[in-house]
Parts: sequence; C-alpha cells; structure tokens
Amino acid sequence: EKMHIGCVGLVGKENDPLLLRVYKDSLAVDGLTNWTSENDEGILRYHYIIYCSLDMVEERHKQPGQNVVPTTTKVSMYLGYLCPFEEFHVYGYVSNTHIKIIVAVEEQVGTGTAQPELQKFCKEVHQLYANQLQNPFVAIGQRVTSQKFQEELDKLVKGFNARNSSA
Amino acid sequence: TMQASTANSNRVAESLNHLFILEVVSTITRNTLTDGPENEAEALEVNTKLESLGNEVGYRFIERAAQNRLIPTEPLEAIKFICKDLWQDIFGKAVDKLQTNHRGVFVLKDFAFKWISRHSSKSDIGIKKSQAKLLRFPCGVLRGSLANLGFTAIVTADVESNDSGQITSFHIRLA
Repeated sequence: EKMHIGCVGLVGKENDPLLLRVYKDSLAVDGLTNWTSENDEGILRYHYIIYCSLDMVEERHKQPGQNVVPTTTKVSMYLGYLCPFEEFHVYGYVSNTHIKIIVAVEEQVGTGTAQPELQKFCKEVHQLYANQLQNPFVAIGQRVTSQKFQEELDKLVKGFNARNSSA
Repeated sequence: TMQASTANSNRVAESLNHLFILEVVSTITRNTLTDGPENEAEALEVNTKLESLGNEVGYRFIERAAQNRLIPTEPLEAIKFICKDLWQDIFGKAVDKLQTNHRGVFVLKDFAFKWISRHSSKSDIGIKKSQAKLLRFPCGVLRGSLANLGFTAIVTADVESNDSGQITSFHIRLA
C-alpha cells in the first residue's frame, strides 16, 4: 500500500507553468528554475507528465474564453484520477480561478486508495496558493516564488509520503 | 474577555475601513495633481490609478473568497457569487437588485451603498464628482474579481437619487 508523491505542478489560467516541485530520493527539487536540457537530471519527464495531463483536465474543465462546453459537468474542484504515466497515477484539481494543481503519485495499488487524502491535499495546496497571492508585492500571473509556499508545500508532501510509506 | 479579544484580533472596525478608503482616494488625488486647478488629464489619471488599485485587490480577494464553493463557469453564476458573497464580504451587505440582458450586460443595484452613504460635499456638482471618484475603486474590485474568474469586463458606476435615498448602480459589460 505504498504511495509516494513524485511531483506537484501548478498551472495557470493560460496553461502557463506556475510551479513544479519534484520529489525524488527524499529531495525536493524545483523543476522550473535552474533547469536546462543539459543538466536535466530527469526533470523533463515531470514536465511531460504535467503537460500530458492537461489534455485530460481540458476535457473536464471549461477554460475561460472557451465557448465549447466540456463533455462532463464538473461537480467539484477536485477532478480525481486523470491518467496513468509509467509508474505514476496523475490526479488533478482545478480552482474556480482556473488554477490547476496536478499531482503525480507513485502507487502500486489501484487509483481509489489515495483519493480522499489527495483531495484534502489539493485543497491545502490551493489554500497555500491563495495565501501567497494575498501579498500585494507578488505580481499577478507570475510564477510562484514565495519561499514560505515552497516550505509549506514540501512539508505537506513529506507528511503524505511519510504516512503512506509503510509497505 | 481575553479569548474574545484574540478571536477578533484579525478584524478591523468598518468605520476605520471607510476612513481608510476615503484617505486612499484623497492621497492619490493629492499625489497626482500638480499646482493649479485639476484638469481633465489629471482627473483621468486619478481615476485610472484608483481603478487599477481596485483591480488588484479584487483579483487577490476572490482567489481566497472563491476557495470553498464550486462556481459554475457561466457568467451569470459568477456575477451571482459576486452579488451575494463578495458584496457581503467587502461592502457589508448583499446587492439589492441584479438585472441582465442575458447577452453579457449586468446591472447591480445597491440601495444603500455604504461607502457613499456618509459622503457629503458643498455642492451638488461636487458630490457627483467625488462620488464618481470614490466609486472607481469598487469598479476596479469588480473588474479584478471577474478577471480572476475568467471574465473580461468593463465596469462603470453611477448614483441616482430618488425619494427613498440613493441608488448606486454598477454596470458590468462582459467581453
């Protein structure tokens, strides 16, 4: 029953990347800054995970400016399981303000186990995002650079991974 | 009593908030105007500054305010959320009347808009001008909150006086 969050991505209104935190080998790595294709260290894969999952998000969530109604009507901000990607199950959440939270979970069991805890996790990440946006010195629409946000997010992920690490 | 004071430690008295808003308008006016009487370009600059300040506040505010309830992506639903929840949070009461032509134009009427209820001026023309200036900030708040929900809008406001008091109307035109 081991589950491990591999990465958390925040995507903005125009599907622009706001944040990508990668969690592997007990380390948290920022996937957006200081990343080049030369010293990749496997970060590209996580970019790809987020990118592919956005297609699934689009099927279930109406973007601003779209006139086409999506095929399913959203009943909550938490979208649940989006798609598989190699060893990951990818889950999604979209806020009223069209901010997407994508979480890739490495899990060996089916996709049902993680759901309630992940839903709570996404809500908490959304809370962190809203909090950092209250700061008037944070530019609107830019990437998340708040140190506090990063620390709190890492703490949340660490907690999740610790709770779900017993085999 | 200790418990009561810590419970309220994040709150601000409403009257202080009103005074603060009035002072914001006054300070921005003072800092924008050069010597001599106010000309059109300067008046426009003051209004623009107030409106964009409101835009930022509205944008950030709705990120937090819209966290807990799913708002359907129809414009009408977003406007209804604004009329009830946002209006209650920021202006202390819900909007009194909402009209729409169902083609992207909405009119929100408040029969006792708090921010202008204690407004006074030496002349009728003076009142109209200063009310208009004061209303730029709320217009910005509306524009910013709609923008964060995904709707581009132009917001204007005006005040009508009738027998029962003053009606503040906010006109929202969605792109």
